[in-house]
Amino acid sequence: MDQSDAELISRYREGDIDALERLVERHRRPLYGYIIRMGRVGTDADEVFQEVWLRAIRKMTRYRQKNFLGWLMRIAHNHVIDESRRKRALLTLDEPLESGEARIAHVASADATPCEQVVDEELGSRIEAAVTCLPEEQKEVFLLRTKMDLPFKEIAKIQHVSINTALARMQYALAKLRDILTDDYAAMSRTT
Amino acid sequence: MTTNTEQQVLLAMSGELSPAQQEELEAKLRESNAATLYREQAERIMSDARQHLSDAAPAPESIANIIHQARTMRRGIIIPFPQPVVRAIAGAAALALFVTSWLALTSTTPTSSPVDDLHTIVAMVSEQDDFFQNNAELAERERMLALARQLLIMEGFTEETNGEEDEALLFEVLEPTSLQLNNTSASPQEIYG
Repeated sequence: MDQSDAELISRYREGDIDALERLVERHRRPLYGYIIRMGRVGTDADEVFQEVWLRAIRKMTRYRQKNFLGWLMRIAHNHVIDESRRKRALLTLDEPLESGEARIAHVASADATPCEQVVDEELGSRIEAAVTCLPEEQKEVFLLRTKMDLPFKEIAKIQHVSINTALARMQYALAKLRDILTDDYAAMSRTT
Repeated sequence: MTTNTEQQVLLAMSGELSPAQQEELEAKLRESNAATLYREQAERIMSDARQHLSDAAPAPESIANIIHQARTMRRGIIIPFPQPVVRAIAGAAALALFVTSWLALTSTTPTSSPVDDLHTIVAMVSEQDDFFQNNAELAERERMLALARQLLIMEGFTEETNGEEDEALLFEVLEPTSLQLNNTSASPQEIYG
């Protein structure tokens, strides 16, 4: 029989490392997927994954929440924010590239953005590209809700916002995805 | 359709509506095609995302490293007692520390002052009736007690007194002849060899 997260945590606190291993196995995919999609370019997802778990393990003796995945995602969210702040501090757009060109000239590209390319791909790739185009906060709410099945109450806690803000972000995310994937979802409105 | 209805649809999908709110939403959905369409589109987009967004997994080495580090951390804090025992010991230690600190902070006299010693002697002598074998020794004991009590009264450390009787005994004790322990006939040579 599958043990609940709470039971595994309790067993780990009593010294059972196997229980921790099962916990890591159980949540590795949602957490890793979140890190890949929310982490900045150049972030080593495996390194972040390990760091999030080690932070969680250090805090596990004080764990009192009901939703373990929500708690784990809060740690991941804070870590991703810390990392992006650290990376932003290291990289300034004023700093010229080695070639002598301004870095900012390379940020806005004249080429088609991933959002414009989505029409040529398979549905899976189109969705993946469309999600990438969402603003960070909306993308995070969308991923936490769809891939991790977290309730809005928990998502609001992770983002340190009210439940209404989390809901509004989800509404915007859905509206944008519908617009980007218009060929896939516009047919629905025509047929109904 | 209002923003509020859209939010209710999303909350219904995440199971966060109360039964009453759920009923209210169902009524709205029956009346509004736009609300129904919104729910269908939201469900479809989320379902497609769930199905098509790839589920990448971390490298097995990453998981092995987490477990290895957890084991190392665990070794550092290993305690050979069950948690309730540890809690009880920690509680007792904290209580002892608190009591000691409290006594140290509230105590105004040294722990073993001469006055305390005098009180102790008075108490011991009062209780040790068997120690005094004969009447002479008992009389000496009474004198010693009277002297100790009067010293305590004179120094202001106690208000207990046996009145005139103790005072008379005090003066008798303070007489030079009394101080020679005249209730015993033995000479110092006989006593000390």
